[in-house]
Amino acid sequence: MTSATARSDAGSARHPGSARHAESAGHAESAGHAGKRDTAVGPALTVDWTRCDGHGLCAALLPASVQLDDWGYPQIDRTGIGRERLGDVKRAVSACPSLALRLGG
Amino acid sequence: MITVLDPLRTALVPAGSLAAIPVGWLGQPRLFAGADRRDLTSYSNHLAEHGPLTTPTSAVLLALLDAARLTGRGGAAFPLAAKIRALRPRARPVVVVNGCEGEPSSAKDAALLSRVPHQVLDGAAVVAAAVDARRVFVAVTDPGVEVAVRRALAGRPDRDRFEVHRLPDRFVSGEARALIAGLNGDVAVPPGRRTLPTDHGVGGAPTVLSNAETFAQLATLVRLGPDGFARHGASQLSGLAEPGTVLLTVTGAVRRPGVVEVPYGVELSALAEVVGAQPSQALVIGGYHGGWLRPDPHLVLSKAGVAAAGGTLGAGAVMFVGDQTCGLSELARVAGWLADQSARSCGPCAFGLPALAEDVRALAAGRAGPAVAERHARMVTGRGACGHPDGAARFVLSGLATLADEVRTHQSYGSCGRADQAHLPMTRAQAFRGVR
Repeated sequence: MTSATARSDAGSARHPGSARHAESAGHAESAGHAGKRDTAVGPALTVDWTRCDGHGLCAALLPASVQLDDWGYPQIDRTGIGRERLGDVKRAVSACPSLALRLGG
Repeated sequence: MITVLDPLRTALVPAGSLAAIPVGWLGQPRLFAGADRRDLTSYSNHLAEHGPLTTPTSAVLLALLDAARLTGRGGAAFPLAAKIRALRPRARPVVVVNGCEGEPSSAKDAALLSRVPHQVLDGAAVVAAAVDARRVFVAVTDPGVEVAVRRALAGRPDRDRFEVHRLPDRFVSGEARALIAGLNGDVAVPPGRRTLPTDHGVGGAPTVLSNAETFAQLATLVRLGPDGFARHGASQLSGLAEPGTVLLTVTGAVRRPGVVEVPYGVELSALAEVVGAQPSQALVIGGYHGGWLRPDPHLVLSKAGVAAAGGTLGAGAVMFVGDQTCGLSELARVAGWLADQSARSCGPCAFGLPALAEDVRALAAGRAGPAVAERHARMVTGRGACGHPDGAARFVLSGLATLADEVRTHQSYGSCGRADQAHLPMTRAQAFRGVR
C-alpha cells in the first residue's frame, strides 16, 4: 500500500509546521472574537480517528459544526465552528469519552 | 524515441517465493541491467556489472537529487532531497528501506530486492553515509524477499550497518508511520497522532524512509551522474521533466504479466505490446489506491502524463481490465477487498468501506444507482489516520466514472451479460498467472 503511505507522509512533510501555524492562528482569531458570531473560521477541531468510538457527545454539544455520519462518527464543518461559543467547544473537547476530540492539531 | 522493444525476459535467478514474477524492460534497462546475463544477487557480480560505488557528502548528494528531481517511488512522489533536508538536526538519523508492498498488483520492490538487491542496498548505503546514519533498516513482508535480502547482505562488507525486519503481510504495513510503528515493536498500524518520520521515526530518531525503488534509482544516479541519468526518460521524449526509468508492475488481461522497467514517457501502446495486453475496456493505474482510466493507447506513462489523464501513476501498478470481463463486478470485488484490508482502527473506514462495497455490489446487481456509492465515497474521504479510506474512495469514484456506460447498462438490465473474470487480482498468485 504504497500510495497512501507516502501520500499522508508527504502531505504533512510538504509544509512542516504549516498546519500547526494555521490552526493556532485560527484559534487566536476566534479567541479574540469570542463574543462575536459568524467568525469565518473558528478554532481547529480535530478527531483522532483511532480513538473515536462514535459516542456522539460532540454532535450534541456543537450542533452548528458537528454532524454525525451514517455510522455515528462526527463530521466537522470548520466554517460552523465560528458560530459555536468557545466555551462550548472546550466543553465538548473535555467531554469526549474517548479523548478523541482535540483543539488544535 | 524508443527503437528497441525487447521481449519481456525472465531473469535467470529464481528467488524463493517470487520465482514466478518475470522481469523485463522496454529499451535500455537501468536497475535490472545485466540481470539477464548473470546472477546479480552476488555482490562481486553486481560490482563487475555496475562498477564501484562512491558515497558523496550530504551537500553533493542533495545537489545530485535536486538535479535529477528524484522522487519517492512508493506512490506519493515526494522529493527524496526534501526528506533529507527535513531531518531533525542534532540527532543521529536512521534510514529505512520500505520493501513492504501490500498490494497484490505491485511486485516491483519484491522483484528488485530478490533479483538485484545490491542496487537497493547501495542506495541506502549512500544515504546512510551522507547523513551519518546510525543504522539502516530494511523492512519487508514477503518471506522469500527476506531470505534474498539476508543472503545479499551476507556478501557485503558494510553488512553490519543493516538490519532486516519482516512485518505482517497486510495492506497497511507499508504505510510509512505504520511501518515505523512495526519497527518500534508496536502493532504495524498507522498511529492516530500525526508525527513526521523525519522528526521522530524509528526509536524516536529522525528517519529517512523511502521506497526500495527510490534507493535503487539513487544508486543508479550516483553512478551515472545527473546527465547520464537523464539520458533516458520523459525529458528526452516529450519535454516533460521526468528523467530516468520507472518500474511498472503490469497485470490483468495480459499474456505476460510482470515487472517492466521503462523510460518515463513511453506510451501505453508500447507497454501493451510488450506484455501482450488483450483488448481492454479500462485500466487501473497506481494500484487499488489509484484510479480507473480509459485505455488511451497514447497515454503517456509518466507522473505528469497520467496526471493529465486524471489519474496517478502511484507506485507503478498497471492493470488491464479486458473487454471480456464485467468491469463493474471487478470494481465491486476489489471494493470488498479494500474494506477487508482496513485495519479497523478508525470508524469511518471500518464501517464506511464495507458500506461502500455493498453499494457497488447493489449497483452491479441493478438494485441501486450510483448516487449512494458516490455519497459514501465522499463521506469516508479524509477521515482516517492514514490514506486508506481516501484511496478506496478514489478507486470507486474513478471506476464509476470510467464505467459510466456499464453502470447504466446494469441499472437497466441488472447485468451486462459478462461474468467477473478476475482480471483485477486479489493475490500475487492470481496477478502473475497470466490470462489463459
